[in-house]
Amino acid sequence: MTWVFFQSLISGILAGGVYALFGVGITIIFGVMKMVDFSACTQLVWGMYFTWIFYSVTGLNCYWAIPFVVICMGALAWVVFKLIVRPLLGSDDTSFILVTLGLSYFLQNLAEFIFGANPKSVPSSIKTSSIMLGEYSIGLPRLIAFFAMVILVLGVYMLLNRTTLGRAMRATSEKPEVAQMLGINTKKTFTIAFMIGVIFAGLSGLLITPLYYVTPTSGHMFRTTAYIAVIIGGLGDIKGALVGGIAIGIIEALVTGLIAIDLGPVGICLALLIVLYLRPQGFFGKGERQA
Amino acid sequence: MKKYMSKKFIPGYVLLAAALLLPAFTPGNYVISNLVNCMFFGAMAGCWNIIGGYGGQVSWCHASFIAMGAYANFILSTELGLSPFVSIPVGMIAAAVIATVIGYATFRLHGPYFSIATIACCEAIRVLIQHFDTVTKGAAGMYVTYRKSDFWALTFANDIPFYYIALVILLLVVFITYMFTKSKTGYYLSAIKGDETAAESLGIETFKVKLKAFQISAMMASLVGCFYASFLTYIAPTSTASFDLSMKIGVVAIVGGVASLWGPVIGGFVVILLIEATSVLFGAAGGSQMVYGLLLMLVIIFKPEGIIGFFHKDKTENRASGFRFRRKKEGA
Repeated sequence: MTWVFFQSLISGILAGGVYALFGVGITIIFGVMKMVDFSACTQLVWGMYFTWIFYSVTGLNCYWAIPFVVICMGALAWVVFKLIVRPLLGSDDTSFILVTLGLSYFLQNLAEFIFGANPKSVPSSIKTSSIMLGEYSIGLPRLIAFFAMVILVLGVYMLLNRTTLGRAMRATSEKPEVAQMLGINTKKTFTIAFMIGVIFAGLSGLLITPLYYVTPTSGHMFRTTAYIAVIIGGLGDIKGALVGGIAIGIIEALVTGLIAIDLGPVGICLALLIVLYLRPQGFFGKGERQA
Repeated sequence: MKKYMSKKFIPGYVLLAAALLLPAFTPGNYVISNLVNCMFFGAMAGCWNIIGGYGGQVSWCHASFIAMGAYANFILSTELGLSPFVSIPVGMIAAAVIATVIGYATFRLHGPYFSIATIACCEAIRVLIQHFDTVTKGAAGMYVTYRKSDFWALTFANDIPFYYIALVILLLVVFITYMFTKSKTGYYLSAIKGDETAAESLGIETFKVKLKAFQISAMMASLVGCFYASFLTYIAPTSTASFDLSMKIGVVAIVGGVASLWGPVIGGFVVILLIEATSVLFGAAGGSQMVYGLLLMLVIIFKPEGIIGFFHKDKTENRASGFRFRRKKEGA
């Protein structure tokens, strides 16, 4: 029993790393643009497909695909921003929820239309390798994903706090109108924030290709977990997304390990409801309510 | 009575008469069964419209409520041999309980919390239905076997009786929606949609009003789900409780026109027939499902008031429907 508990805890923390990375992407978009990007879970699927394309063309290990995926996701984000997000800037968040969900459904079925519903896989030598820590095993791909997350999140943290662009982004997130008056190109900051968010989703996809099959519906598990992680941590806070992601990873692993293997989403949903009852603004959130 | 004889209603009566007589002139079951599908989706979208359209709270778990009605119907009829009509209140209560749980947690907050919580609950309920497979038969799904044409068991040799049942349900949903919008709660709800903070400052208990609307919407969806399940004769978690069904319901309502009485009905006929046509052309997987997402994006960007917006000549009436665009930013 204790073995199951600690093993679940370890794999939960590592799985939470991917949720956290994914959540930080959503958080950056929400923080700057005040919109929730519901299409992120299918952007992740496209990240996986870009990795698979790279693999099938070059035959290299999936981690070599990082530059390729970044470029492809950046281009995708730019097109999506120009075509879909920009016409809606300034409207209420309901329109954003709907349009990004529409985009999500569209991208998922576009992937199915182009690549077919059959699962594809990106084989690599490290797929099944793991490190033994005493009697507990740690999957190597998950460990790599966790450290990649730490590096990327630190990078974003530096970007936001140490660079002029980061300052501009933070100013825009405080008050777009004032930021614009002070000479910040808010459209540009919006574009960059959106691109960073989408690239993060794509990289999360890349990092999980050694673990999961690539199918158009691979993003479904992130549709619930990652968004709940973001809410539990507090919408719009990077620390929150980090903590929330890892917390959700742990909850999911404990529920699947100790109670029943298929009840993970139920545990997460209950966690969300409990957090919303007790602390509606999440762990780190400043509260959504303004009046 | 005189009120209903005016010229304004003539097109409506003509349409109703045409709808009633249509099965007599339609050969084959294919057209009828598609029309039944359209009407069921119109009815589901009508239920969604109460909370999503008039309330502006976008729900993505209406499939769960449909599933409550559907599973209540099938479990009671296969295990206990009860008529589906008996199961209606059971499904409604189950749906109301779920709606209350979700509503209690999220309606105190503004913003995207409600939508995210509904997506999560939709997934959780699908998983729960799959998990308790002793009662629900899990992922394999449940079916009713056709023995004889029986109205109380809702089993018929062809889809023509369902055509009339769906028509009655559709009109019932429209009628309830109409009564709701003319009620006090309905007016409160539209005030909340207009400006939640202002409504609150005027003394409207926004939390209670939203919760009530959500419960009504959920219970109606469960009723529709009960009959829809009998029409399908086979239900499974992926077909009745999935996020995809929630998505379809929302898209039908939004494309037709939110916060309007007949918008979801128009949406049902336009969207479902369009999907049927595209799935004949491009195959059922991928291609035709893409249309849902595409339609949703196009409508939100170019015509937020939906198809019904083309029929409104009166611009003042038009302004009330659709999602509010260009919300005034606070401060600055």
